[in-house]
Amino acid sequence: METLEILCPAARGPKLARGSIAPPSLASLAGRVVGIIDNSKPNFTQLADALEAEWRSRWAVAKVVRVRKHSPAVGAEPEVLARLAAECDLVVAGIGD
Amino acid sequence: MQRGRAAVVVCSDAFAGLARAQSRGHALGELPLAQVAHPFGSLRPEAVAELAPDLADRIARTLNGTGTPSTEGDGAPSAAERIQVPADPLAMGLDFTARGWGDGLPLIAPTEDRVERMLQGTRRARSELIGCLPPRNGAATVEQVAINATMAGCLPGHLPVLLAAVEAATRPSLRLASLQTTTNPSTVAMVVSGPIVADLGFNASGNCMGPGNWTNATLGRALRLVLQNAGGGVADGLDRATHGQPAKFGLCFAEHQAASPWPSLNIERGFAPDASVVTVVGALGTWNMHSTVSDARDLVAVIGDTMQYPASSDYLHGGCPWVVLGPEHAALMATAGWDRATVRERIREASRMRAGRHRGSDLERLRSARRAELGEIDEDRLVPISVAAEDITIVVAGGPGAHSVFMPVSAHSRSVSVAVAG
Repeated sequence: METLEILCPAARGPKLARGSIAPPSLASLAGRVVGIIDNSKPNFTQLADALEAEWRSRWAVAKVVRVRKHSPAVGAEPEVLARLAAECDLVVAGIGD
Repeated sequence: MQRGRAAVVVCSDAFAGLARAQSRGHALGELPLAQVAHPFGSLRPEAVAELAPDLADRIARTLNGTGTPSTEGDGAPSAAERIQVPADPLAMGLDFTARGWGDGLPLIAPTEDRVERMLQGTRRARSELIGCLPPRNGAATVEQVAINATMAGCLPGHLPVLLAAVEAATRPSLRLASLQTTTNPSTVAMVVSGPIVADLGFNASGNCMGPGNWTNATLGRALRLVLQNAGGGVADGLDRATHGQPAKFGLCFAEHQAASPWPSLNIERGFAPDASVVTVVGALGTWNMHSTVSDARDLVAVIGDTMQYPASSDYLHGGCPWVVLGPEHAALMATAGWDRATVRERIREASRMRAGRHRGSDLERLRSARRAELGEIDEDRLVPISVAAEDITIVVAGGPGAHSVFMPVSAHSRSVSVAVAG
């Protein structure tokens, strides 16, 4: 097959910030503080309600911190992220549907 | 995770690819995912609650050794890779499409000499970074934009317009990450104003949003290809549009200033009268509005009625919709003595929609999204399409005929204008 040389149209992705993102492992959720970022998609609030109840009853989670974005199209505000980072051991975020 | 906390992403399985790409795009490596079956959003409440025990288990399983580094990309803007592809045009097009680099139509091969000729259209350095485009956050350099412009069939003189459009697309208020990944049929439309409209032969008149003009067609297509090949908004990949729309192949048209009774969009947006300006819009579609009424108040009523539909992102969140007035409709409004600001205010008033046209969870979403702005919303409340009249953009384009176009805009997306540089 005859070929020709072209310039690749796809751009490179971002460089991974190695060393800056080592996530902690959690052996257990017992006694931990868990955050939930509700992306405000249909049914996510109901799912978060059920998860919170599940964590409290079966997993002995100490506290659940809930935040809700006002729209799925908008990222969580920096002060919200700072608050979650300060208070929580684990953050669960919804994306897409 | 960047702040030293464990993180887990929850999504339906149809969105797992998007979640992984968002994670890599933010240089977070592979964030752990806990998935539920799609469709999720339409489940009844009791079915949602039943998902929780299993989902909690899945989340817990991700916690030991969460996340692995991504190996994709070295990030720094660098010269494009040279690769061998089939020389036959059809075979090359099929190859590009299979790689996720095409739009399903034949393409011009971006050979070194063709790209070099394209780069003659700008004074900007080949390696200059225009911006990183979400969700993949790939680096759109002048070279990368030129490669995609070549593929779309652009001429060298078109490149500065495309570079301005790409720069505009990187501005936060457009919310490109959402436009590129939403289930809505969002596209990034380009609207061109100023002297460059005539200089480059844009079509601002009949069929300006349709086929037949090389500049409109290739530039609209080129922007689509850049968004896809730098940003990763590939159909059936990270672009999760349920249906998409024909304008996602590309939509570019020009303001018909010679037929407009009002100052051009570039003046309205604070640019010099002789500036050439590209505006990008997160358009959800184009909706024809045909009316032969002879009173401007009747025309505004017709337009306002037509803009109302309850499945609209604009009403749900308070949007930034566009109304593209045909010259005949614009002239009728000008005859009534209305300037553009008056038209905006009258259209906002006439397009208020009864909240009760939203049903069930849609009505609850409307109430939640606009409570801070409007207070409690009962079913008889007339809800404006935008928070302020200034959020509605009015431009004049099109040919002879008693038509205008309503262009609804994706949620929270605000159009962005950038001057064309050399």
